[in-house]
Amino acid sequence: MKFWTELYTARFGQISLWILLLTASYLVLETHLQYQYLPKGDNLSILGYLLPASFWDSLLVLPLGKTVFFLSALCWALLPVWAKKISLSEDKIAQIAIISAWVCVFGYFFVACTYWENLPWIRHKFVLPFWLLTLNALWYQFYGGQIVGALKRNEFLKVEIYPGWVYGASVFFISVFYTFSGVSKMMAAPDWASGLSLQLWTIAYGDQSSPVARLILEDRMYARILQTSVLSLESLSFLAIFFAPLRVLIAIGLFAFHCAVDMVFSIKIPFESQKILLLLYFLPWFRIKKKQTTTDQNQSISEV
Amino acid sequence: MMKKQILIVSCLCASYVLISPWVKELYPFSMATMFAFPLKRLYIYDARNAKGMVVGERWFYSTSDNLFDPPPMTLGRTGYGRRETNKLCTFDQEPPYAKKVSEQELKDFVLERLKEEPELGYVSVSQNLIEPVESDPKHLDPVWSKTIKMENPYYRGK
Repeated sequence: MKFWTELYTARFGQISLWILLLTASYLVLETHLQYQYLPKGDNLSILGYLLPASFWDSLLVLPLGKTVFFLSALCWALLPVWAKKISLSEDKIAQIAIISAWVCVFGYFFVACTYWENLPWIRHKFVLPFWLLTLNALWYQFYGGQIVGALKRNEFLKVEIYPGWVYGASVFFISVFYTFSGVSKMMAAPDWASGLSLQLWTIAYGDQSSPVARLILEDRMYARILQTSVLSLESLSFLAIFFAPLRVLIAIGLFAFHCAVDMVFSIKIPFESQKILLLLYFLPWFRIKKKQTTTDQNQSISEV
Repeated sequence: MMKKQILIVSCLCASYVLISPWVKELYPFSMATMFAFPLKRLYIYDARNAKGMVVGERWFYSTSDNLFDPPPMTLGRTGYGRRETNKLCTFDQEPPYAKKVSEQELKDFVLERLKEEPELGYVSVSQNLIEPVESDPKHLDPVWSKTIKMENPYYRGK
């Protein structure tokens, strides 16, 4: 927990924010209203309960949400560029940065709600970017003034203005998301990993030319081993919160799982966004930087 | 200052952990229920014309991933944001999850589809049940098949 309360240099924070914004933009581009002609079903989002059902029949809601998201994301992402160039006071720039961050979070939330309310299925990959964007917006909320000040002084990458809780809570959300996925399978059926359902899914939607699909259909025992591995991996993902070395193994395992799903099923479920977030937050980029900083400090001390 | 930040972030984390299991799926809260319901059996459908060519590939199966994403059943809900009403293969809420369709239901369904296919004079529809059998614990094959041949009453071809 001590890690959460410490401050670090902003290099990882800013790069991860850019990658996160690109990932969210990729997901927002994927949204559509292709199934809006179907009768409205149940509410799948918080906004679904707050707004009338007729609201989701409008053709304008999604383009509007997308426009708000992209404009605010651009403003937020390019802050290190424009903050140095315009002549507003630091407080004003910080205010604009904080507002653009929160508008971006709400824009993403609105687009994702609109998409879920207009789909005859669920797209879980839209969940994590919302929480991660919210954490980054909170970073700007609390440190906006210091971020802008550091940018103005050309010291953005040198001063410690990135709180550990942004990274720690990001790992927390990703880990819990996967753990919930494992838990929901165990809660649905104790014999979930029997191998039978994986064989049936593969018959229904599998790409029969895939070697993994052939392996699954060859013997139920192979399917059982694969399902048990996935269930164990997902359910134990929460360990990544507490043990950094395990985080890398869990990331590799979950990455391989997403690749295997891509290979087995002919109905393509693009998991690129999940793969990017796993590699971004679970591989030790952040720790490497921290060690480098410590080494730099030690060198400076020895020089002194 | 840091205490306040940690408190807010902890509340955010706690809300996700506590609310998601309760609501299952209510964006942005989610239990990530993809692939959660394990099928015990599967019905496979196939429609072919007089020349044996597959027609109506998208007649039977929902374009949604119903078999992948179980519909949310909390807060009095039974489905998704939009309802697909013209598909045969829907999702049972109880095991074995794949809904059994009677011959009459299948005929009525195909007749509705044929209304939209006036160029198609004849169709042969097969329904296959795939489920495990004790004699073969390794593989899955159709254990039951039925084929229905139907003339198209809406046929307007030559």
